[in-house]
Parts: sequence; C-alpha cells; structure tokens
Amino acid sequence: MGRNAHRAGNNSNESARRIHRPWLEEFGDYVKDHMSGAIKIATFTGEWVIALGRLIKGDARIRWKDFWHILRTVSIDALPIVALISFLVGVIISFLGAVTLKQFGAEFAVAYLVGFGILREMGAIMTGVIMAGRTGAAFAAQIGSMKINEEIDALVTFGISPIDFIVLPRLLALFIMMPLLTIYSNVIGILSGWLVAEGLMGVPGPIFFKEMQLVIGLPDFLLGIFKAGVFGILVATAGCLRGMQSGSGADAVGVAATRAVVAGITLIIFSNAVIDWAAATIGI
Amino acid sequence: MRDDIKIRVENLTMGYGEVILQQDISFSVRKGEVTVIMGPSGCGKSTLFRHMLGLQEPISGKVYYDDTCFTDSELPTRQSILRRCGVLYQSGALWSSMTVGENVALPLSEFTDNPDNEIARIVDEKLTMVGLKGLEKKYPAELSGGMRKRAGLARAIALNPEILFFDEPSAGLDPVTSYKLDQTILELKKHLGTTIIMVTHELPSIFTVADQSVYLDPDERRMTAMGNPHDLIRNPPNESVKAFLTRNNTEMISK
Repeated sequence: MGRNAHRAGNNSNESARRIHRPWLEEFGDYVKDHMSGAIKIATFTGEWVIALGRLIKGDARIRWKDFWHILRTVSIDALPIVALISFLVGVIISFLGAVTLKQFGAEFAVAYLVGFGILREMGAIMTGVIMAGRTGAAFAAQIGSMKINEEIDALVTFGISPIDFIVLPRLLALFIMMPLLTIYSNVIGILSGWLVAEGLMGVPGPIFFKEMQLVIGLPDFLLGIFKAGVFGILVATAGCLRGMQSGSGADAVGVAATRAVVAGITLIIFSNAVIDWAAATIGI
Repeated sequence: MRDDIKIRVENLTMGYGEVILQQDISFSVRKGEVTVIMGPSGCGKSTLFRHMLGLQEPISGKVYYDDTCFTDSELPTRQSILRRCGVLYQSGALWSSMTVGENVALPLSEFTDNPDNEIARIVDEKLTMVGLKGLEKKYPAELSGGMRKRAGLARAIALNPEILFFDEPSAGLDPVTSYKLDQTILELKKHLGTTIIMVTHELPSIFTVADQSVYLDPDERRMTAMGNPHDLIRNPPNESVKAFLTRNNTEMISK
C-alpha cells in the first residue's frame, strides 16, 4: 500500500511538471526519443549484418527447418494476393493511359506507360506494400508473442543468438522471395495492362509488346528487381525489430504489428524515392 | 572466493529507468544448495532473477559466477557461463515452432557432438524424468500449462547443468503437481548435486526445498532478511518477513 501511495505521488508530480515544461525541454525530449529510436534501428541492422557474416562463414546457428517453413509462407502463400493486386494495378495504369493518350491519338504509347510503370515502379512497390502488410505484420506478431512467452529469453540463456535464430531466416526468406514475387507481379501487371489496351483501345497484342520492347530494356527490369531486394530487407527488418521491441501487455503484439506495417511502408516509399533519384543521376 | 560459493551477488541495484526497484542486494549462493528468492508480488524477485542471468543490466553492482564477474564479461564469456546453467521460465517458454522433443533436443544438438540416436535417447530419458514420456511429437500449444512447465524443465536439464534457475515453478499448478515438482527439485539437488536458485512466493515450496532464502522487501526496496526459512520464521528479523512467512494477509494487501 505504501508503495502504491508513493507511486501515485510520483505520478501527480510528473503530470504537474509536464504541464509547465518549457518548449525547449519538450523539444529536447522529442529529439532524444527519436534519436534513441534511430540508434536502435542502426544497432539492430548492425547486429543482423554481423550475423549474416557469421552465416557466410558458417558459424551462425540458423535453423533451416524454420527457414524453409518461412520461405513457404512468404512465397506460395502470398501468390494469390500478389496476383490480384498486380492485375488491378496493371488495369489501373492502362486505364490511365487510355484516358489521356486517346486525346492525342497515341494509343499505342500505352505500352510504354505499362512497361515503365510496372517494371520500374509499381511491380516492386505493390509487392513490397503487400508483403509489409502481410508478412511484416506477421513477423512482428510472431516475435512479439515469442517475447511475451519468454521464448527469446530462453534462447539467450541457452547462449543462442536470437538474431541468428529468429531474424536471419526471416530476413533471408524475404530477401530471396521478394525479387521472385516481383517478377511474378510484373508478368501479371503487364498482361492485365495489355488486356485493357487491346479491349478498350484496340491496340493489338503484337504491336503492344513490340512498342514496349522498343523503349523498355533490361536495366528497367533489373532496377525493379534491385528495388524488390531492398524492400524485402526493409520489410523484414521493420517486422523483426518491431517484434523484438514489443512490450508485454495484452495489446502489445497488436501495437507491434501495426508499427511494423507503418515502418515497412514508410521505408519502402522513402527508399523508392532515393533509388529513383540515384538511378536518374547515373542515367539508368 | 570460497570454494563452496557458486554465485555471488554484490551490491546490486536494479530498476527501470529512474525508478529503483531494489538496491544494494548482496548474497551468495552455495554449491549444491537450494536458494530461494522470496517476497511479495511486485518486490522485484523475478527482476533479480533476470539480472542474475544477464537478461537485464543492473544500475550498479555485480554478479559473479565462481570467480568470473558475469556483469563485466563480454558476450562469449557470458554465453559459456550460461551454458552451465539451465533455466525454467514461469510459462515454460518452450519454442512454439518446435515439438516438445525438438525443444529438448535443440541444446543437445547445438552444444554437444552426440549423434542423433544418442540425442533421441537423452530426450527420452529427460522426458521420462519429468513424466512426459511419449509426448515428443506434441507441439507446446497442445499441452496443458503444467505439462509445458515440465517440458521446460526437461529442456533445462538436458545438458545436465551445474546450476538450475526456476522462476515461480509452482505458479499456476495445482497443489499435488506443485508438490511433485518440489520433489523433483529435491531429487535433482540430491542425486546430481545441482545448485538451484528459485524465485517463488509459495510458502509450502519455500519450506520444503529451501536451504537458504533471501527476502526482498517491496516497501524498503532492499533485502531485509537472509537465512534458512525455518530459522527466519522462528526468529523473524522484521515484521515484513514475519507477515510474509506466516501469511499474515500482508501479501494480499501489497498486491
């Protein structure tokens, strides 16, 4: 009882102090909080990079059975939703082209729009966003509940690195599968774009694909695949980090999953802009 | 350090952020004995347990294993010390993606050179010891709370550790199961000479298994009593310990 009274006293003091805080202190705390968040992300990234080094040297304690299971859940299980979204994105891009290009009598150019749009941007971005919502959230929830159940502590006290055991398989699986899913998404997106071009604007298939080949090259395709690999790492990092940071209350796992999705999507959009800018600078 | 002392906690102060939970805790764990960390709920006994295993870092103070300072050690030294310890967590903490058998086998396959059939034999032996023979293929989610805890014990003793840590082993168990677990703990101590550290507030367990006990006072935020619980109840050094050991309802109020 004494302790509770003491705590209550502390709380009221604290709230009184909060009301009268000068703005500089407020701002300092804000920066401090966000800096510590950034330091945690950097530390976590450093830890998995070191673990990856150990894996390459053959010292990491990765459990391959878990890896294959995760590989399956981030690939085959994701195919239907990736197909659906990619189909719709292809349709949307093609519609966009149909509306604007018709006015100039340049319907054939819809092939450029679809090719560029899907291969360079939308294929990788949409797959990344889907994986952030689907897999990033799942990673955070799994790891968060492992943390609450003291499974992470049990790894540590057995002298097994949770990074090797939990983070590495997830990171590797997503890094390998994101480019493959993106290729799949590209194919479906381009095909659906062509369907709209042919159906709505009467651009015949042979012309559509021939026009596309004229302006689209291997670098465009490779840029998209490169992005996919980067997004895979970002989504897995966000998911695993938010899971590891999960609190222990009843709603903590939900909060961790939400934060993983928000962080994943933000990182995807941000890094996409950086990669586009870099690609434009070096002329790809 | 004296030969019979296995773990020494020195002037440990622990807390979260600026809130101090317990300060200046010092005690020694003697080899082959059962040391109980006791106190009312919320006094910080599980936190002390986590500090002894390096799962949380102290505000100040040190933990020594034999002559090695665990607190100041780097990760590889800590890992080699921890490999001599087995830990049973409150909920069992079985790895949920693995079967019971795989849970017990993992430390064996990670840290020994035993061939698969030898590992399978040890897994069978440990599961038999805790009364879970034949449940190797079950997943943790398919087991009851008590079974999960026993499977966790089988995993903790898989490598025949010198030191065993128990975090509230009888929490959530019925009195009979809890009694059996206490007997298992005594057997481990008697037959294997294992040093045991146990966090609990269950009086029957404390009086059955403890050779030594450490009492953490939640109001004073420090350790206020140390010794054999039978001696402590005869000559209680303060009212708080007396109330705790005699169930003077104080525990309920503190909750």
